[in-house]
Amino acid sequence: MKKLLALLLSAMMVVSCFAGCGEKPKETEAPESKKEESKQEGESKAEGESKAVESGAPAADGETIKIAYIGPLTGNYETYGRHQRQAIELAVEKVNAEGGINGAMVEVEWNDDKSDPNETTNMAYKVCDEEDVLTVFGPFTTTSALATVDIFKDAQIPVCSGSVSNADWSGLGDGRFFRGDATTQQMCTYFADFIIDEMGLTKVAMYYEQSDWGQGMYDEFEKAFTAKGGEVVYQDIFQIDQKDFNASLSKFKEKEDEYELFFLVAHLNEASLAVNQMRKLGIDKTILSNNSLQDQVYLDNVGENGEGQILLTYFGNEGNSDVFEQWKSDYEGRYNENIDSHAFNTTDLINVMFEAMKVSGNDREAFVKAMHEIQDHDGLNAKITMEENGDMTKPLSPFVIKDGQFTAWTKE
Amino acid sequence: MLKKIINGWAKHQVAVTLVFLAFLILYPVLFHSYYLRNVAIQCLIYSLLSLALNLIMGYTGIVVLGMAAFYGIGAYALALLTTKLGISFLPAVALAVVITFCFGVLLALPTLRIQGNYLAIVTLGFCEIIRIVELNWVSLTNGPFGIKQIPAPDIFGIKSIFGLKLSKPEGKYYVVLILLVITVVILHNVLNSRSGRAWKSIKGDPIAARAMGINVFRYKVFAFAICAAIAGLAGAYYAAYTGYVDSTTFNYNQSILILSMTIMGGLGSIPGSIIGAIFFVILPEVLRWLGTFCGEWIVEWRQIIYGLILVIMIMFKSDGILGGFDLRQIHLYNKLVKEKEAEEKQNG
Repeated sequence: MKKLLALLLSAMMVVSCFAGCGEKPKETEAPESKKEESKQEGESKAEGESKAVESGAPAADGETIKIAYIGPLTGNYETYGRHQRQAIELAVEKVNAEGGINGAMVEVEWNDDKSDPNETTNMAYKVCDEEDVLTVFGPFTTTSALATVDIFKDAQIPVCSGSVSNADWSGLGDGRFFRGDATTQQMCTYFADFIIDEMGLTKVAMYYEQSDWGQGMYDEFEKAFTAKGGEVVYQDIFQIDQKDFNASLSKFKEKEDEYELFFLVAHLNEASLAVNQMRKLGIDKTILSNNSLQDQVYLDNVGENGEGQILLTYFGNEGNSDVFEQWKSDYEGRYNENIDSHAFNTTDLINVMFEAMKVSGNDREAFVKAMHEIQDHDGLNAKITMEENGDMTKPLSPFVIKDGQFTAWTKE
Repeated sequence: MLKKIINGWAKHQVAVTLVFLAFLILYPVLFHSYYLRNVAIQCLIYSLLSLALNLIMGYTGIVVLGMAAFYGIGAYALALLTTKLGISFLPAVALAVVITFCFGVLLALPTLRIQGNYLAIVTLGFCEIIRIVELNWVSLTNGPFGIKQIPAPDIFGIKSIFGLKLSKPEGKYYVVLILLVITVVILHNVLNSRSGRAWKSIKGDPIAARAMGINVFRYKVFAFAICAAIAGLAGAYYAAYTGYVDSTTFNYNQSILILSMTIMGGLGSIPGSIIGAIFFVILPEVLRWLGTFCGEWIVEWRQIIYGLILVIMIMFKSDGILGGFDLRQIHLYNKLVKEKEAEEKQNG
């Protein structure tokens, strides 16, 4: 038995050796010098060679436009990765069915990185090896995105992420990084304006997740809100994956008289638990939160405790545009799964990318330029404009949870 | 068959090492893909970490479940030294190693009085403490934002040698290769010195070792600190290599991954540690690559296949790929057997 296993193991090692060798012709057909040489030369060299080229035509002839997706298709963030993938597949099928981008078919290469920064760098280099990739879609998390900044920057490849939350990220890519979600700064300005102008409140308590996103939201909100004359009277943090919030929530209960609004910055699981626990503790202040809670799962989890909670987000159960309703029914019909903010942002971003591709074709630099020039693009639920630093301006609207539904918020 | 390979290896140890080293040196010349070079860099980083753990687990028998803590301290040390104080790569690496060495001593002094499994739990706790400090000490570590734009490796400001850019994967590869070779040489020498023999005797029987006049506690602390320093070296390199560190990278999973590499490679074996690291870094990528032939299901299932291979390995070869083999001993034994045979022939 031992001998057999030893044999098996050595066979495995041999296979892994071959893996190294075998991969070479596929991805490294053109030698290193190719990178340094001009892109056109690289293209002519690659002609008729590798498998990678077979599946996607060389950049210049315009038959295929290749997007390299890098994101968590397995692992802890698999749900989000899956939603992104489904949204991309739906959009790509639609555009290809309509004849593609100026006749060129869009093709997506799926690279799973589990949102593990080590694997993300592997995938980033893998994509850099491929000359026929026009742009990257991803990475998913801030850690993965920041770990690959230099790689993409050196390769001068455009990167479009639908989810990176770190405010500085888009500014690090020499103008080649684009983001398909509002930045924390934009969001917090909306929040501050909404609380003061629409709700007429000035005293807020804030409870946020301890992550780059949560911390960023707090910093930006505090800045914007104070500048507008508001005050964050009390704030506390919780950890990702925390289950018991009672200790810190009881502090919020003690100070309940000092604030008028409870601002919760959290993701689904933590928010569901925190909201249920705070209602149990008897904190009955209105809760305001961000778009990451926009999911049927959240409504199911909080039930009655969620009633009256206000979300500033991109869409609700009613009051949406026709384009949005069409997309929603397509998506939900096809995948038998509710839409969420990741699917929504992904769809908006990929459509913006298609619009830029119509101008740029398969030229990376032209694509970057076209992306920067996007203005008043008809997004799913609002007009989208690309800002100078590569972030998107996407207006948020207030929705309130009423009878277990996200309904449009109106001033009473 | 395995025995034959091992015997052959034991006989031609120097030659095998040289061939392997030559392969490592030529690797970037043989493989032009950025991706393959990057995978190789990760193999070498994890080799360092696996070696560090092997030193303490394989040679002194202390189980450490908190390697990620030292890895993280090294990374944060380099990140802070280069970004906040503007120190260049090499001195920053040296300082990071010294800092993690000190942390190793600091942790070892109070904890090494605890025995066995309890010590493992303490190191696990230490790992968690360090992660939480990295996350919460916002004024120093930038908290959840992490530290970004850490400069790539250079040599006192020189960013390329012989046309080799140190910020590119091939340059980074040679930097980590040199660090690994230096570490292996030092480890090899230390292990064959008085300290190394003392460690082995402590692993065998601490009481007997003490009776032989070995200061068990002092040697354990020394082993612990060296282990921490090597992990710190790996961390320092990692920070310069990715250009970004945050607390989520140095979590419990990393510790377990390093532990798996060390055990899988074989406790008490330097080549074993390297093979273990290579095995664990390459395996997911091989499965990914197989996906291009066998269909995408392999990519989706690769985590399960990965786990399955581990379970099978633990069941059938629980002491690791090179566990239980001491190449020097095998070589000596074979030589003695041969000499005896020759003697018998002569006599008879």
